[in-house]
Amino acid sequence: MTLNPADPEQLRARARAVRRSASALGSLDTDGLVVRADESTWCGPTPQRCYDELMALRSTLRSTVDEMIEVARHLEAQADVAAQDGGTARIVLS
Amino acid sequence: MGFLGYDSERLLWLSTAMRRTADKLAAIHNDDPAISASMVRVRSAERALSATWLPVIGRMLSCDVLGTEYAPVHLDGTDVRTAALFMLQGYGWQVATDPLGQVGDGTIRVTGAEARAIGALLSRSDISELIDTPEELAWLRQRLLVIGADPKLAADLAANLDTTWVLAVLADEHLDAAATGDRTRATQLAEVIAACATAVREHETAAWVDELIELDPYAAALALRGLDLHGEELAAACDRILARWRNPPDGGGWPDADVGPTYTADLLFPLLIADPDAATAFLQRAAAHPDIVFQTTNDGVLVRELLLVGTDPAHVSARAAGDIMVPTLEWLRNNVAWFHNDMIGGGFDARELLGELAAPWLLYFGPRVEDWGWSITEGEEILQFVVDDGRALDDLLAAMEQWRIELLVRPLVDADGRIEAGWATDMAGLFILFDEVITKEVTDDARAARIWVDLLASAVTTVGTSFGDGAIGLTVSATVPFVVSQVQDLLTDAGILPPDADLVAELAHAETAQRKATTAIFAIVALAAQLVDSGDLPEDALDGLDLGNVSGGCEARVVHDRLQAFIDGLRDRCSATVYNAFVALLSTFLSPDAINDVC
Repeated sequence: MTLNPADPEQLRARARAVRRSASALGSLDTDGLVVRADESTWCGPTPQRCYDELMALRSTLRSTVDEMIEVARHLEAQADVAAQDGGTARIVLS
Repeated sequence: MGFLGYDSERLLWLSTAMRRTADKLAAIHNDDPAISASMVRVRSAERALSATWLPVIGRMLSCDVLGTEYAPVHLDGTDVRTAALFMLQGYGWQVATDPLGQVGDGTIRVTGAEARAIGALLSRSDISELIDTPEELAWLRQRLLVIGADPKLAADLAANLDTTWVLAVLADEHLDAAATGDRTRATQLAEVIAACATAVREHETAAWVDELIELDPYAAALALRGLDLHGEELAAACDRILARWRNPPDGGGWPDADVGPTYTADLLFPLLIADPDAATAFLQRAAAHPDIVFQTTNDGVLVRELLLVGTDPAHVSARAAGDIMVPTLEWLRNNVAWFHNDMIGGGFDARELLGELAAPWLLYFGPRVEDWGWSITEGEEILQFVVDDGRALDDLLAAMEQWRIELLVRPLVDADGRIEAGWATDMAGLFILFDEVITKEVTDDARAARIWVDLLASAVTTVGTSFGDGAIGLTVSATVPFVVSQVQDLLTDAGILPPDADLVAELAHAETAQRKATTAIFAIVALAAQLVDSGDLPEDALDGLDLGNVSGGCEARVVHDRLQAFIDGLRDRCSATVYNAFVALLSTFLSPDAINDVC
């Protein structure tokens, strides 16, 4: 698909797709994963490294969800502006 | 190679959850360039789960003995570093080798389970087998320090630790190590014991301290070092431990008393020395049974430091010092003769310590003896006992500088010319005391003479200094030869001393009465000479001193009267301050009591 930053409908469609991805990511039970990897399941050097990596992974995925939602908002705002200006306005995503 | 442990069922749940998460991550697709960086992280997370951790878990759950770095093992519980895994193994966990770490890897977080496991394993196993290597001891100490710094972990440890028993066994191990000369192991064990006590102290009741003190005293002392007690609390604990050490309940002996060379007191005294308030409080308690100070160690240096810190005038009142010194010295006087080399406490001569101990409190053996509840005779007798030891006498004399400074900072005559009566009394008493006690001990003429000259110089210097404006400007070191020289000339001129006589030797050899008279002349003449020199007295002032023919009657009384007449003659020629200084000085060296004693 050729991206057209002046096409409000395309921008909204992209925003919806990003929100779906964020939602799918946010629905992962990473808390449960971390809990299952704690000392009540296993312990030792390898388990500790796994636990530490899962903690980091949980944090990364949370921030990734936030980033995706922010991107979706920008796309939606860009679509609104494009609709008002007849497709001439443009919002540059940071 | 280290070890890991796992609960197979729970690990399977983890594997299932991980697989589910990885699959969901894999199902997320979005090629929008606006989230390309986010999607890179999603793919990375998916790979971490599916390509790294799921295979690891899979290898563990496959129970493949060969061909895997996670080979199943069975721990035998002889290494404290595997305490947690050993306990979990007992609960049905699987244990396997772990290529990612070493046994005793200090970077592995301490878990509550591990804290509980350490407590339980130490409490039920053969401790000597658990900690038979330096690595195990170092690991245990490090773990205990981490546990002690975390209240929750400390509670976990305390919940499973039979503290008193464990500390007792560790103390036995320490004693064995010390007895066999393994200083490294002894040090490590001492650190472990202290760390253990530190870790559980907040979670044990106050009654536990009482229980601890009822342990083998050596174990109690080692543990006490981890309890961070101070002041009265520390003093009370040390007193109880050492009293118990001296009096074993079954009449036998304690292990450390049999093997040495480090005894319970050697562990406790440094704690007290580092805490002056505790040292004083301990010595006050020990006054009821001074054997816990003098017969619990062979380390005379420790005893000396304890006594000096605990009776240091810088922080101990005269009353508190008396509470310690009186019973302690009386006990020593009655018991020290029974000390011998093959008993604990026989490794040093307690009498040698007493000179330094007595020096700052010398006034309380004489002029202020009643403050300590002694009679004058008792004070003299005790001081006689102290100086009976050559080393103690040397130390006492060497420490006189401290006493001299005390006198120097206490003016004899204040700015208004009033005499500080207490000073004169103290000085007079001190001279009498020296006359009665110390000179009996000093057989070396030169040293005896030196004592007297130093004392005289101190007195004269103090009087000079008491004028306050620095007009006299005396210093002890400058005064001694100057005063001796001047007095020598004057006494020779007066016919009291034969020509070419050695004044110092004369003083040393003089009978008591003559010495009192001579020292009084010495002091008054020295002061007058100084005042003439400084312009506070007219140049002809000494002309009024008639020292001719003093042999009619008791020499001390005649000299006193002559000196009094000389001073009275100066009354209208000098200030009230100067006059009162002379009166005080005469009273110091020839008080009415002193005259009555010798005449």
